[in-house]
Amino acid sequence: MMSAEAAATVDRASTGKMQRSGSSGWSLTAAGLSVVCLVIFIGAPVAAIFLSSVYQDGWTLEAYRDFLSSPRLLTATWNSLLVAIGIAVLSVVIGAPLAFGVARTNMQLKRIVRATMILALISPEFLLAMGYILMAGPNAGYANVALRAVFGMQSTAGPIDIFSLWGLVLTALPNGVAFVFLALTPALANMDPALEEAARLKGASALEAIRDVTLPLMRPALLAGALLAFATSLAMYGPPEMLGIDVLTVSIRNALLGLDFASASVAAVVLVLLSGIALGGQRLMLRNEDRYRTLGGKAFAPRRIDLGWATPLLTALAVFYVLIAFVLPYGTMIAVSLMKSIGNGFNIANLTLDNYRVVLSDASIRKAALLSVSLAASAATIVVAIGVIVSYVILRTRFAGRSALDYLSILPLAVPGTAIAFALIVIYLNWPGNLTGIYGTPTILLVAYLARFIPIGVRNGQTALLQISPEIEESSRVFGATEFQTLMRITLPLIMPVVIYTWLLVFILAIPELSASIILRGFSTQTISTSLLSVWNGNGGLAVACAYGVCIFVSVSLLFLIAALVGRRSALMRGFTIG
Amino acid sequence: MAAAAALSAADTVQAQDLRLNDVYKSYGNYEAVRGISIDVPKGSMVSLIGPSGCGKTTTLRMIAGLEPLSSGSITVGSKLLSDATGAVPPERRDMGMVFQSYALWPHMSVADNVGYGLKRKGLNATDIERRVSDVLAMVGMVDHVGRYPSQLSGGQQQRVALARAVASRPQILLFDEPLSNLDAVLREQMRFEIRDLQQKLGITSVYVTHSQEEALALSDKIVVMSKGLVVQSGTPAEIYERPKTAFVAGFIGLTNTLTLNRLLSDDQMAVGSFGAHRVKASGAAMNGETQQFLVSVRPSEITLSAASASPTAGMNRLVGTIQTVVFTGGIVDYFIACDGPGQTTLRVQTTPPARFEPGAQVALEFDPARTVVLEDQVNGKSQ
Amino acid sequence: MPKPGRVSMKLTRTVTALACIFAAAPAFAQEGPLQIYSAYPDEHMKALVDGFAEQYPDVEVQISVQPGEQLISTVELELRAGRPQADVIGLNQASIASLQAAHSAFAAYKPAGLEGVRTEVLDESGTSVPACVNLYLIQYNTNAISEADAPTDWAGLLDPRWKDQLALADPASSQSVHSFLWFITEHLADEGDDYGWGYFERLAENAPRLERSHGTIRDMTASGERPIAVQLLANGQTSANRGDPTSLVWPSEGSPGEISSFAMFEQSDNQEAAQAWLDYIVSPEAQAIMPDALGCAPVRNDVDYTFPDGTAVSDVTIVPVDADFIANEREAQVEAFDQAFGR
Repeated sequence: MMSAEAAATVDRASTGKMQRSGSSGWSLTAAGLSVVCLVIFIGAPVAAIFLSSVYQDGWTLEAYRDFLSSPRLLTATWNSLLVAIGIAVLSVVIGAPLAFGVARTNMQLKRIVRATMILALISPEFLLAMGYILMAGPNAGYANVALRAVFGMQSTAGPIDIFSLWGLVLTALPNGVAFVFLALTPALANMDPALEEAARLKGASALEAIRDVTLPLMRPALLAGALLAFATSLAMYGPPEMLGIDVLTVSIRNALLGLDFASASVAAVVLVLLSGIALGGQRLMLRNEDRYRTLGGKAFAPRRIDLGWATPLLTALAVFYVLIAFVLPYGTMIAVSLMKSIGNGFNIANLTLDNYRVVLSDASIRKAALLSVSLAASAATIVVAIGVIVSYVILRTRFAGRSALDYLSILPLAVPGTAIAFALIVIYLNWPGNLTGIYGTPTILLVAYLARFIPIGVRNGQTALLQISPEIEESSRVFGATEFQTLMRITLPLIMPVVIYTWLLVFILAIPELSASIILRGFSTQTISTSLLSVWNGNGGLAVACAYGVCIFVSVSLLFLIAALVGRRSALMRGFTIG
Repeated sequence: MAAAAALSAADTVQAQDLRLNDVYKSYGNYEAVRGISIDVPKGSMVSLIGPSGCGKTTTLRMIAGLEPLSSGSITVGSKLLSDATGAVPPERRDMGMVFQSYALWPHMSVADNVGYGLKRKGLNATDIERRVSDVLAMVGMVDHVGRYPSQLSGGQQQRVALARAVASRPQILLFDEPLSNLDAVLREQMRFEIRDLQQKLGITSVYVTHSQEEALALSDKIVVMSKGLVVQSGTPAEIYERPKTAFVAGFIGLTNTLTLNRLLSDDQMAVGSFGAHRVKASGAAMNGETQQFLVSVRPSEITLSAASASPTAGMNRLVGTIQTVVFTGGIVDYFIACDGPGQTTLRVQTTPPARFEPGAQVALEFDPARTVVLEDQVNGKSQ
Repeated sequence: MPKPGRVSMKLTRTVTALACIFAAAPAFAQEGPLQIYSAYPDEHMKALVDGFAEQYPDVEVQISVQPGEQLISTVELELRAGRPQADVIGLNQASIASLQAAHSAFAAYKPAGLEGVRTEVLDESGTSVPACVNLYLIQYNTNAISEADAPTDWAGLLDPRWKDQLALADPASSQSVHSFLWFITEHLADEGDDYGWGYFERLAENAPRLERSHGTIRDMTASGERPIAVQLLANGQTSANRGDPTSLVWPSEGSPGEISSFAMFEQSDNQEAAQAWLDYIVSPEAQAIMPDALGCAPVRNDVDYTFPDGTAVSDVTIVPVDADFIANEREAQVEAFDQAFGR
């Protein structure tokens, strides 16, 4: 063994280039930037929500007392919970068989079911609500009129009343079903069919094997999907607003319309806590997934199961779902969009393309579209940049507290857009936020969008970085590149497909953002969604609104098609992540 | 590799000694490296060998500047590279490295991969192009200059990784188990090519491996590591012929260990009893209170003869019964249950043809000079 | 790992560059054009803006429309943040009065044209300039209800056969409907049991659908979803223009007239253009197109007007509302309404 005498001969003077352990200038900058961004865009709003619920001219719990003694707010809370639970349960009931059917059986229409699921996720929730209101209004809804005629009912109303809690559940159901479906299909496709075969060899029928083996194995994915459906249902604003049903998001809005900040904050806190519990549960499910993981890097050819008499039943369910979630609502919208007067029905004399002409030529709609597109592009760009930087700090540096960054970055998933908008009002109306002067300008919408979509950026960023072996980056360092050069020349080019895909995804989700936009609306901040809602609510009318909605739907779908083509290059599409 | 002959004197580098002084590395409570000192003389190739988790890769990464040190220091010549307070970042260390996964950049062509370090050094395009084709010629890959890594076989990727590592004429060359992903034939071929290139360029090199064959074939010096410590270091011959412990003996080559009851010993040799047999071994002095000690004897050092044959003078001799005979082409392996304490099975390797059948009674003879006393304490268990 | 092709890298650069350009876009400056917050829909404002452009071709007008109640809270928040984002607001007189009481946000201005305006619609303080009188009346779907069956007065809406057929704006979220509340609970309070808060208690039994905006109600009536509704004249006008199968009833008790108005912000940095807009609103030219524009009755004595169904203004009992009462008693009225509806 060699002696330690060598150390004595070291020339200390030549060591000036040494850096403190593990912290180059760039990674320090990245960490600093991450902390600043996440604190401003996420930490501050969340803190504002909680603080403003206990501080009004002094520390007090009065706002909570008022909340508990307000029948309207308690009803809203109860409605929120009922609707979210209803959606979660029904989503599993419909989504699980469809996922199983698509992943593992020889049922028909698989591609169409898949496409419908994805369309349900990317298309704005208020579009479906429009379709359902036209379809299932109790007196004149087309579906009700048709059902009454077919079954010879004597009543002049019903049988379906969209303006009810069940109606609200129905409106948001396609979205929830899609969450369960997309959580389950990869898990089902990756399951080792030998596990089921073993059960079959022991004498179980195909359906018994599913009950005894498949279902228990799928439980975490199933619960995760259901909890996600639960949380997003709590957060939705457009449909309950349009149906006139009091839920917590609508209460926040109403409280703000009356400038009642205290009730708004308590409603927001309750909402955030409920979503937080659900999303915490979802993460827990996914963490424990390893225990249930049946895939060990081996590729299984997913074996198709012949369910016999049950197969046509699954196909029928698929047809039913596609009709209800896609064909009927959007078909209704298209039909209405071509009517001169909504009261005169679908006949030649009443047909017109005028509504589309109005949509495409109206100056304020054009302005709103331009604003939405530029806001969405800015938000997507910044979200992607923050996503890459924060993921880099979390996965590639050794700073203490980087797991705190991880948690902070996904926090907004539990904060509905209405609550974020409320928080931004509190922050940017009061000192020191008011000094920025951004209240009422498009910038405050950008800030809201960032808060909403940063989780997507950070999650996709981490997924992308995890795909790249650290050696690929280390070799660049050894061959003379600094950390920053390595990021620019090696890491970024390699994760570029994910970066583009994430950019497009955020872009697509940001364009129709409603819940924060409508609360923060000012003179020059009319976005596509708020202007559509305004058209729907009389500033143009239902027929024009339908034409507008069809245009939005077509644009968003085309954009997603592009995103999907880009995303196909990366493995990310399978774990389709969405806020 | 023919083009390697075309190397000019300018392609060799001004080599420097690399030294690790009492280096520690811990991750939280886990101590990966627990105070090692290694001397890599300039122009030589030193192998770090040991089982997975012994700290050899961590050590290499500390040399590269990819891991900070908990304490100790790393120097090249008179220049301090790392100590507990900080480190020269990897990009300023002037090293080349061949990674286990090759770590070629999939979005760059072979030429771009190899030229990357040169570009970082600020060479102009013409010089880069010339140097890239020179080193690709050295590794016989000049025809693949425009390909992408995904279009290359494993062996070809390995050659590109090697070319990339030497392209910028680094002071130090690091190898992190570079051959472990190749098949046996290719591995042996690449082994010689790497050694050839390293010697021609005269680059101070550190080679991490868990394969004793690679270590023996490639190195000027082998450092055997275990559990974060250096167990033994020396030339390949020293390590092979005079292992200090059963671990080293077993890790570098095959061996048999025998537990002997001590009869007498001095600085040069020791004599012990194995059952009814006396076994003489060479080795270091041992503590006077030692009752039992271990010796190692390589399977290839033992000759077999019929039990009835007369003993050869000056050789240790045991007898036993052949249990299994395995023929593996160039070698015949015998597993022999020896008459003695416990159930000691010895392994013996001879050249073909096989001369004994299972069940045959044989005598095992081996040279006391090739029977090495080990430093391990006997814990009542023997092989 | 897939090898990203060069094409995708180029695409990325283009997308990034585009994104940077877009990113700069939202930061446009706010000066120059005359900015008007309006509770009146775009299609109604368009005729006024076009007419204004003929007289003031140098002034560019930008309109931002929000339903009245939302517009009030938007403006209140902007005032709290420091300054309103517009120069002029178009809202009913009562709402402007209550905003002014709370924030003193508006600059008084009396255009010369006010001299020709009927005195009962004038705002004494000069804060708001009346544009037209928007009346409440009954709109019904002619496919669902024949003219003979349609009610002839407000009390007729209490008939049980309109159960689940009615729609009404929600006083909690609509400012305009407070004119109707005032009319029934204050103006007609002494006219018998059919009126006062008893009216709404009985109306609640017919379970009218309460909507945020009169525009939504108009479309519900047109589609037949709620074939009969308490509606504003302006929306009836829109229905008529569009060819909806609807008709209007002039209730025999008379119609509360809400005064659609405009006012200019004190902090406007475009005072001249704002004054020009207010001048224009009470000019004979603007008043002449008011029925087509805001869809309601002109406020000048010298402008003739006939309602879309041929009814002359003189045949209708227009009751100007008490804007002060509406502005001051709003919360109490909402509470009483909620009580009547059991909310």
